[in-house]
Amino acid sequence: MALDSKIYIGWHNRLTDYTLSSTLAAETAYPLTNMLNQTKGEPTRWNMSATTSTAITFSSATAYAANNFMLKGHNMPSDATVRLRLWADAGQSGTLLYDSTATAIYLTIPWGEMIAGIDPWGNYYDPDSNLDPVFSLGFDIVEFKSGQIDISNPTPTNDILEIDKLALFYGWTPAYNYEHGATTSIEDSTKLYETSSGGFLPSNFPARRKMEIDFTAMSDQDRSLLTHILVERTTKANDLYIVANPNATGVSKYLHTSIFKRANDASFTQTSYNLNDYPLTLREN
Amino acid sequence: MSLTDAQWLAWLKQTDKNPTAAIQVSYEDDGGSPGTLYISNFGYIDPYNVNGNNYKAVITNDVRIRQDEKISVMESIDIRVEDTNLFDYYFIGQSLTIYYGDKSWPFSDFRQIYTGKIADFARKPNNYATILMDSNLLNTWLNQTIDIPGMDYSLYDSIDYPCGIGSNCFNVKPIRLSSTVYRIYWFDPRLDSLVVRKNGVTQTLTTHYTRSVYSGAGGGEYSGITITFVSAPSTTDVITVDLTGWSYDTASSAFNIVGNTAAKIVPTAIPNDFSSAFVDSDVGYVWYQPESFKVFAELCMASCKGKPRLNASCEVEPWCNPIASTSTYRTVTSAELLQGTLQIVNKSNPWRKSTLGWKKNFYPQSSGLASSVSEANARLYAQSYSYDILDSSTRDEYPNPLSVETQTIITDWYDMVSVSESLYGYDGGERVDIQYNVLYTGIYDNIGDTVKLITDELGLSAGEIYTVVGNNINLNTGVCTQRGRT
Repeated sequence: MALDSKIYIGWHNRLTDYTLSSTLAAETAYPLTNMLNQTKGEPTRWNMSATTSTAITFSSATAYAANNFMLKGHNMPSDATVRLRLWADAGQSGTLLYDSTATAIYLTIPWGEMIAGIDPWGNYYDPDSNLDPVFSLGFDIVEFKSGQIDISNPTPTNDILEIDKLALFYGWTPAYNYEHGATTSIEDSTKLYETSSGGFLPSNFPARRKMEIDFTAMSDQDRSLLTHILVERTTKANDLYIVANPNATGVSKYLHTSIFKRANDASFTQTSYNLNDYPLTLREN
Repeated sequence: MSLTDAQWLAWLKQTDKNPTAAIQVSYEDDGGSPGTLYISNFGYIDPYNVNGNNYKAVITNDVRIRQDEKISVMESIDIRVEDTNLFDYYFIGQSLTIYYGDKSWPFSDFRQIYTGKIADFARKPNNYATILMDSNLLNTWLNQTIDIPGMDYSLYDSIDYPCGIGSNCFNVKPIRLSSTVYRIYWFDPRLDSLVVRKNGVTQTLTTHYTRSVYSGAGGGEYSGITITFVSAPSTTDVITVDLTGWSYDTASSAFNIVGNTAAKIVPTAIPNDFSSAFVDSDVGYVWYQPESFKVFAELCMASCKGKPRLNASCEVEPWCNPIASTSTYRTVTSAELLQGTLQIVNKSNPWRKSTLGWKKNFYPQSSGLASSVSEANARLYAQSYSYDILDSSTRDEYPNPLSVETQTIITDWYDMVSVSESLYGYDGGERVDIQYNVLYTGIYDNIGDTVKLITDELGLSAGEIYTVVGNNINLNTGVCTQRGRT
C-alpha cells in the first residue's frame, strides 16, 4: 500500500537519536555527525578511492516510527543506488520491516515530459541543475529499532562520496491536502545586468527551492497538530522535512521534496466554522 | 594544475558558473599556536580533495576589494562566528587572503586575487564579527624608522653614521673621529671610487690623505671607509666626499634591498626589469641619522617616475601614471560594458613646466668654501639639487597650467633627462579619466593594466586605450567598477 498522495511534514530526524556507523570510515574532518546537523554545507565525506560502496548502520533498544527517508546535497553520479532497510529488532535483526531494494539516486526524466529537443528517458533532472540533488523514499509507517543504508557508488566523483544531509523521519499529513494555487519556485538571486549591446549578463548566485502553500480546509484537530509541529517542535530555527507528494515522479518530485525552514510566521485566519487559512512559506536549507 | 591567463579570463566571461570567494584568515590562538579560519561567501569544499578545507558560507555581506592608485584593500566583511573561542584569539596584523574560482574546481585552480593585513576583528552582537583590513598599511610600513642598512653594531664602534647607498652620493659629510681621522659607511661591500674635498677643494690621495676600506664588514653588506689626513684639518674646515659604488646602484635594487633587508618589514615588489613605464635610474642616498623609510622610499620612487603603492599582494610597488601600452591590452566591447555606466569622470589640467631636482647634495655649503673654488662649483656645492626644467610653449586653451617640481635622488644625467621627459610627456597633455562597469571580467585586470574600450558610446567606436587606475570589485555580484585613464 502506497502512501497517500498528499504532503508529508517531518519535524524530527530520527537518525539524530542514533549513533551512526559506516563500513567505510568517514573522514575525520567530515564525520558522520555532519550530515545529521542542520547546517547546509557541513557534509560527511568518505574517501572512495579504494572502494565503491559503503553501508551506514544504526541501532538502538528503543523503537521509533518513520515513513520517510531523505538524502540531500550529495555528489553521486547517475549510476549510484541507495538501499534502505529497517528491522524490528536491534542489531539489524528480527523482522525486516522495510526494504527499498537498490534504488537509483537520480530522478529520471519520464516519457511524459519528453519534448522535442529535450533529451528524454535515460536522462536526469539532477546532474546539471544548480539545485541540491534530493533523494527520497516514502513508505508505510514502520516501527523499527535498527536499520541500514547501503550506498553503491560504482564511479565515485573524484573518488569522494559526499552527503550534506541525511534524514529518516515520520511525516505527518493532514486529512486534506494544501489548496490549489500552491507555488513551488526556484529562489534564485541571480541578477541580470543589461549590457551596452542590449544583451544580458548574469551575476551568478546559488539557487534554492521555495514553496508557498496554504491549508484552508484544515480541521481544528489538524490545525492544532500543525501548530504544534511548527511552533512547539520546530520553531523557525529547525529544519522541516517536506515531501509534497511521495508518489510524484519527475519534476514534481524534484521540486517539491527537500529540507526547508519555515520563513513566515505560523498564523492562521478563521474563515468560517471549522475552516481557516493557514499559509506556509518554506525556504530550502 | 593551475589555469592559464586565457583560461582564467574565459571562465570570468563564462555566463554559467558558480563563482565563490574562498578566504583564509590567519590567527594565533591563546596558546600561541597559528591557525587558519576558512570562510567564503557562497561556500566551498574542494571536490577533488576528500580532506579539503570547508570554507563555510558565513560572510553576511558582499566581499569587495577597493583598488586605486594608492592601495588595494578589501572592504570590511561581517561574519557569523561559529567558534566563540575566536574572539579570544589574535587577528590584528595577521594575513587575510582571498582566492577566487568555481565551486566545481579543485582549490589548486583557484587564483589568489588579494592578500592583506587585518586591522581589527571586532565582536558584534549575536556572535557576529567584523573583519577590517588595514587600509593605512602603506603609511605604517613606510613610516617605520630604519637604522643603518644591515649594520652589525657589535663589530664597529658605536658611530654608524653617515651611511650611503647607491650609484653615487654627492658631497657627503663624513663623521670626524679625531683631528685627522674621518669615517663614512657605505651600504655596499665594494667601493668603486672616493673623492675627498676640503672646503670644496679636491684632495689628493697619499699627498693629502690615506684611506682604508673594510669591505664586507659587519655581515658583508657594507663597507667602512676611514680617511686619515696627513696633516690635521682645522676644526672649521669642511670635509666632504663623493662615493661611488655599484652593488645597489639603481632605484629598483636600492629600494628592494633597503625595504627587504634594512627595514626587514617592508615587502617590496619592484621587478628587476622595469616595464617601459619606469626608468630604472641610478640613484644615491645618505642617512645621517635614523629616519623613516618613507623619505627614502618616496625619493627612490620619484627617481623611477613613480610613487609607492600597496598592491593586492600586500607589497609596496612603484606606481606612476603610465602611458597605456598600445601593444598589450585586453579588449572590452559593448557586449561586456554594463549599460548606463560609461562616463567621463575627470579631465586633468596639463603641466606647463616640469622641474626635476637631481644629483642631491647631501651637505649644501653656502659658505666656507675656499677662494680657489670656481664660481660654477661654488654654486654646485651650495644648492640642494641640480635642476632641469622642461617648459612648454604657451597653451592658450589652458589659462592655468601647472608647474610641478619633482625631487629625486637620481645621480645620472641621462636618467634625469629620461625621467624628466617621461614625466612631461605624460602630464604635458590633458588626461581623461573614464569610469564604467563590467561583470566579473574586471577581476582579471590589475591596476596599471591596459584595456581597449570599443563601444558606440562617447565616440569610442574606433576604440580607445586606457590604463586601469581604479578597479572596485564586488566578488558576490561580480560587478567591477573600473576607472581608466588615457
